[in-house]
Amino acid sequence: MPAFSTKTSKPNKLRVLKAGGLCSIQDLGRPGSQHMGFSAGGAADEHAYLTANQLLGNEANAAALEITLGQLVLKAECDCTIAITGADSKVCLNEQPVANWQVLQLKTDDILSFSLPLSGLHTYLAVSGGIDTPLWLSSRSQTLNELSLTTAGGKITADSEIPLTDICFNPTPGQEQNPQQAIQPIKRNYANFYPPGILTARFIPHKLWFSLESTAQQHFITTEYKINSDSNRMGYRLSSRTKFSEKNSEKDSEQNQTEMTLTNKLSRAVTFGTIQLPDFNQPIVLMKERQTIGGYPVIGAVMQTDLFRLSQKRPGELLRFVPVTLEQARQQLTEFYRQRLSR
Amino acid sequence: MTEKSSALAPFTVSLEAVSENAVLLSWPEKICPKQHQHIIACRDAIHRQLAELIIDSVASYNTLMVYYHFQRSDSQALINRLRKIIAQSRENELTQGEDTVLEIPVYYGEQADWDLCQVAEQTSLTPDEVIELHQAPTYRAYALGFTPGFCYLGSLMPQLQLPRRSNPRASVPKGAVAIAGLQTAVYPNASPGGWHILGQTPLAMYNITTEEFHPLLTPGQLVRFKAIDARTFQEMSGDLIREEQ
Repeated sequence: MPAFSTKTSKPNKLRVLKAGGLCSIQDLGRPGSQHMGFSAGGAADEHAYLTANQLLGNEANAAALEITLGQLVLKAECDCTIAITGADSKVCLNEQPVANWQVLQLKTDDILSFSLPLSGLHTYLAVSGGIDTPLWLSSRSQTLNELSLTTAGGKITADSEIPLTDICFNPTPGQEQNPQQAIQPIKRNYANFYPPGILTARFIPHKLWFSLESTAQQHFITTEYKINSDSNRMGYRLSSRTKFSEKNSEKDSEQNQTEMTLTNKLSRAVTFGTIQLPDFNQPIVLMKERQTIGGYPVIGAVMQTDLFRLSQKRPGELLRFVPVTLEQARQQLTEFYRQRLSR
Repeated sequence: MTEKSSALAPFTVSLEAVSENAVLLSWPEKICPKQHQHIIACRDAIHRQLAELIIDSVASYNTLMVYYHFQRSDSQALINRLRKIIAQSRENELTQGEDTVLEIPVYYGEQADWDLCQVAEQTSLTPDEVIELHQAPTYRAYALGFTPGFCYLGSLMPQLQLPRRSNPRASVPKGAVAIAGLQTAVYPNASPGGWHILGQTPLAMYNITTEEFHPLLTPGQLVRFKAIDARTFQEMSGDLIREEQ
């Protein structure tokens, strides 16, 4: 099996000089391969990922770099046109700061460096024409747990080469003009997608939610949850700041009722955003790199547009849950893609 | 209703839109071959009849998750179409693919020094009895998950039922044939795992082409295990792996 060895014979490429955080190649993933046990995977924050491709006039599914917690230095080994979006990694081009959510023209030997962002997690670097690694199950997304199996393999480290297409240099991407000369007027305030402060994660409640006692429901939607440090691209583990049992110690029977409702089930498929409750006070929200099936009780699913916002939240940050109707969630997602899939 | 379809009447299926682009079909919470046959028949019928809408579907013990292109159908409209397909699944669909039983050769060698003797001890059986009981049933692949190509096969003879190991291994070898609870499985690749390892198969559990993955087992497949000796194992290019001490 030919593996992407992190070296390429392609003439057009970016070379990684330093990789301090986590860096992976992502597109919209392989949602059609879950029946074989493959994680759907894909870009954690589709807002930033799709915007980067849109700025370049790329196909929506063009593979980009997902740079987690910055600390990456790249060298252009060809002229190329790129866009940087997502968490603000204080990107510098040859030591000069450049703006986020912008298109940039790189010349051969230009050095691009990403610092640890002050907030947010994932920065996206898209290139005109996309990253040109081999397709595996119709996708170029890298899934850390499955690297050994896939042709998308090859963890990105110092000295890795990122292959680009022969259309990686595009002087007029999306009709932008001289982007390198000055910070252009920003067309839209893309960062407005991420409201500051505590995130309100709207969720589609499932049947199990409606069978919970009202005190348990009330607790769930009034509690602030903290994102645990073992959260990652697979899932966000949360802990409540006020424990349900403590708060309701005088209501033993209701507590028991809730425990009985929330027993493990025969494993079934889990979706992007599934809220699992292995313990009532420690929900898990499943993210892009989730397993395909699971047996923990599930009370709902966070709507997808809020999952893109959640994916930029770091351990220690807070969120709160609020129910939403399926129709509202679908409308938000329809509008989300309508805005970002047009070229 | 015809007589044929009324034979399926006992299966009550509930449908729930669980996400913007997913509908979960749930059968009663039990592991039952007949019910699972119906799930697989419905899965196949859904892919045949709604191909343009469906992204993927994941069948499990008593559920079928259907992922679909949400821009192409309202969730209620999809649920109505799914209901119709479920109601229409006929018995002739249930028998499709049921005649083929895949035989998986297993080298249950004590030399490999995995868990065979321990399992024998814990179940108060001899190693030979454990091997015999493991080969006795025709198993059904109920679910696929955990790692790519990993199928949960049921059901094990009750005499072999054990809880998972209290100390899961960091690495279970590729091809390990293992048991836990009332289930058995083959590890397609080396991975962490808490199941009791009885032996190893030389058979590849998947085949990779340049861009595609072809698992040997998928939900609905029937499986039998057949003991082979060390020589046959080697002839089938098996790579016998011993526990690292």
